[in-house]
Amino acid sequence: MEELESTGIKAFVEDAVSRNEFDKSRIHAILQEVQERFNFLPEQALIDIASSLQMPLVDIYSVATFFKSYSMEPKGKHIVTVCMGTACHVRNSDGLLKEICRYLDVEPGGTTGDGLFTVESVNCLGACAIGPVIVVDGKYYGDMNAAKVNKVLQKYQKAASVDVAISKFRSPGDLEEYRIKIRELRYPDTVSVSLCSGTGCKASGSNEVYEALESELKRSGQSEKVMLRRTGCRGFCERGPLLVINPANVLYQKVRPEDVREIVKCTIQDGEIVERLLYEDPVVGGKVISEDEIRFYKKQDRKILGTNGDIDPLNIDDYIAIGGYRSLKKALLEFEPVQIIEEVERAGLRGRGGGGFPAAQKWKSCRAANSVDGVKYVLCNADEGDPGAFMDRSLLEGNPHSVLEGMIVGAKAIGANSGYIYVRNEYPLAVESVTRAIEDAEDKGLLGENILGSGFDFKVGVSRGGGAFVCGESTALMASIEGKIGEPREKYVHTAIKGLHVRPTNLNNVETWANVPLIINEGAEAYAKTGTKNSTGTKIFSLVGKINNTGLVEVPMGITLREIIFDIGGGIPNGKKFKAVQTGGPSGGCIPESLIDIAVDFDRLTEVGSMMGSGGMIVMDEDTCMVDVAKYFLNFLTDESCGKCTPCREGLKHMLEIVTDITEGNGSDEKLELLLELAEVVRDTSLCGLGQTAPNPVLSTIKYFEDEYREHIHEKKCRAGVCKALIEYSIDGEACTGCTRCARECPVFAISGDKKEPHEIDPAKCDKCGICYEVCEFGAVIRK
Amino acid sequence: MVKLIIDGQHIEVEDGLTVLEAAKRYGIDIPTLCHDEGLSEYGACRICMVELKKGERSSLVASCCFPVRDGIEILTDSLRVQKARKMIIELMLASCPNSRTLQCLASKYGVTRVRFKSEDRGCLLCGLCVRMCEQQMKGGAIGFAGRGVGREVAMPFHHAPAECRECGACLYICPVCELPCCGPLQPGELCNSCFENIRIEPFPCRE
Repeated sequence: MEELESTGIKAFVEDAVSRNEFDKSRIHAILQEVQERFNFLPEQALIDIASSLQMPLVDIYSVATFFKSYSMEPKGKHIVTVCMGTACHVRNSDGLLKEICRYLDVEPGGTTGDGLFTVESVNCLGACAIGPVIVVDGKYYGDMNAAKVNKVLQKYQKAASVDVAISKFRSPGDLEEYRIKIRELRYPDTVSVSLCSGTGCKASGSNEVYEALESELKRSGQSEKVMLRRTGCRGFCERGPLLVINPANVLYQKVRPEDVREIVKCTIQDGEIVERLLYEDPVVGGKVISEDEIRFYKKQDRKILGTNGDIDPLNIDDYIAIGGYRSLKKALLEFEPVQIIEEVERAGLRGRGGGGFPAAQKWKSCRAANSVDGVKYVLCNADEGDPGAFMDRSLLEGNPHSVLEGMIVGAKAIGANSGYIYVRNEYPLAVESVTRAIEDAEDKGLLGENILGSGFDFKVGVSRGGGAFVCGESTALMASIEGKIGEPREKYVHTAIKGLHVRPTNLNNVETWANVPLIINEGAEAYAKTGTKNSTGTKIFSLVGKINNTGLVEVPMGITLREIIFDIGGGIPNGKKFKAVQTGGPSGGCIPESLIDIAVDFDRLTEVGSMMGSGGMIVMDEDTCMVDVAKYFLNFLTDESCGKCTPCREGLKHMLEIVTDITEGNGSDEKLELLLELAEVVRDTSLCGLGQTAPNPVLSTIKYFEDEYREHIHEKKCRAGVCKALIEYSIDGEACTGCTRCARECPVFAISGDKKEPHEIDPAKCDKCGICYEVCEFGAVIRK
Repeated sequence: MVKLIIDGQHIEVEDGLTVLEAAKRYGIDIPTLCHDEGLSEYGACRICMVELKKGERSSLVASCCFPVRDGIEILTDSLRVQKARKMIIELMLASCPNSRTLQCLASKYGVTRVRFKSEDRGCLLCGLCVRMCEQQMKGGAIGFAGRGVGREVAMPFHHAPAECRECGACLYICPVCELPCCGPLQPGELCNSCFENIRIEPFPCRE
């Protein structure tokens, strides 16, 4: 039996290795295949891979144990993944994880005794608008809480299994001719129904709505007349699934499969509006018919994201129809490479991935760099690891061709003929759509050899990363593409000179690339009109956390935080008070209310001790503890540190220890001093950007919320009621009606009392999960 | 040739050297731990950080990796460097209190206490053994496993692979595997105290 197993492994490994052409640098692809097949990485498989690739076993072992997406232990039948991103964290994902583990009787990362479930946590799934989120076998469940999650798990316990789903152009003339043809074919009077199928809407059931639409259109004999398509993210994830019907320009929100029959009959057939599915402004009131009338969209300037709603990401014709790949004509045939760089320079494009480095400057040095054999690379960083950010995911899922188009233009400017898109493995949909986009573009002669007859060749591959935040760092990303562990190295010689495979390499992030076609099409001057002097264009933010309208927003640079949070975001829910907004992910900081009127651009955010980062914007209210936020990011960073350099590995660990002590009532003023001293050294001496910026969340919270730290230290008090060691739950006998709800929901049976009599909490049994506080409808549970 | 200034000394060395190598030529002492002349540069321990002046501003760079450039000014013992160096030694001592090499560095650079929770992990993760095995012994038997605080030097699946010839080179180069300090040390105590008590100079640990 065992022998059979091992020969099975051997045969599979041999196949996988030969499918990947015995290429050592494709070790990730090979390991991913093995993991998908066996659910984990068997020791024998690694040994077989080592021998067929003729490389030391330990090199493969290092890679397999470095990336979190690989498992060395067999996993359960159902994989339950709990998102620990920032947005989910401020909505109590910790409690959720604890409840799941308690319910299934398993440790985080472990597998249940019956082999049915493996519970994992992940540092961000990029579905922040609907947090806290869990994923069971690829199916997303949003807005979870301890009470709801048990019902989800029961479903999997009962059901044995649940179905989970998720002609070459030779010249620019050919492309234009084709564009005209598709437009003629599709635009006159066709009714188009676009259903948002971004991750947020999918989690709210857009797949089911799509199926219902498809069958209803067929039943009513209208499939021919109506163009039904699934589009990428429209940004307003809070209200999903979103459905737009054109040319009438009607937006329906929170659409359920039950609504479909009425939509088809009234709106598509008779042109009438279904009132109850319209968006109603919670602040001003009144129903709104079209997208641009909604306050959430009004102050936005959706130059990059806007097209998401008009195209099916898996259909290249859709992209061409709206003017896609137009910039190639200019870039490949009319401009000299240097002119492209000049155009991008005059447009003032700065990198959207984090630091805001001028893109043209990077391109210039890469263009000027010598390569021993002439090979240069152009890379796209889609390892969006910042918890709370998901704009890159939505762009790649919703409009992959715009990113490809930008890369082709960049490659031409730099003189590179090959490139990679490095995508996180946590984004399977993005991998799928970008892989398809590459195939389609190659078929049409927009990628590959002699693009549009210009004589320029460019090939792109997809490289999948495996759950390591540090791989967003350029040198670690390149090491990972080379098939090594994602460990950064010193950048005293820039990657533009010596990058991937020691060749000159230019790396830009997804959103940066998507801006390039816009610059070439509009021209630098027109592009630079949007935004501020030193930060031009727009920026996409994921607006999440304690805010009414969560989702993706694209705004002109220079807009104030107040406009984003209160005008677009609709303010804080439940009448709570705004406290801070966190930007820049784990490298950024928390900006307090006193600075809410600052203009959002690269430089201003850095000045106030935060940074633009990739664009996560997590709103926090009075119920968020700032010391806990600092602890959260330190926890994240110690988990994601690669462990190579001392200050990052050891320093962050001890910083976390000190902050944890403070949240548990064991802090002291000396410890706080030590924390600051250590933070400075970690920032000064760490090897890569991860460590150098890691102290920011701590430093910014101490800077703006020192009183909260001191309160934890001296008064042993957490004013937000978050730090469990410092709070207690009790029941107000006057307010309690004896409805027994809290007693029934309490997972540790700490609440007792008779029906219609005031209840009591036994502090010795209470594990402070807060379920009683959440479920009580009479405000009788007190948290102090 | 490249001209640069280290600690006020104007020096001239050939291009392609690191700041550490240049300093060594001129007898300027910079402490190192994960660096070894026979192995590739790694830049992980950060004990060799020096200050690079850029006009009014300055930054810390790892001298073992930073290439010499014309006109740069380096300080190897500025206040900022001392502060960083001491903190790094303190951090390493918290995870390897019994390493003689570390204890000596502590007494040399005036680290007199460890303010962090100490835990003897018996490994500094300097990676000398891994590079020794791969680059000098052509073994490739040991490597890093895991990441972050969970990172360790390991053999695949924790047993010796065919590549291991038991040559012992990894043990030879390890700064932790050496004999512990011979002074009157209590667990968790620093060499400074034995330096005080026994009064042997300058390196109390080396016989």
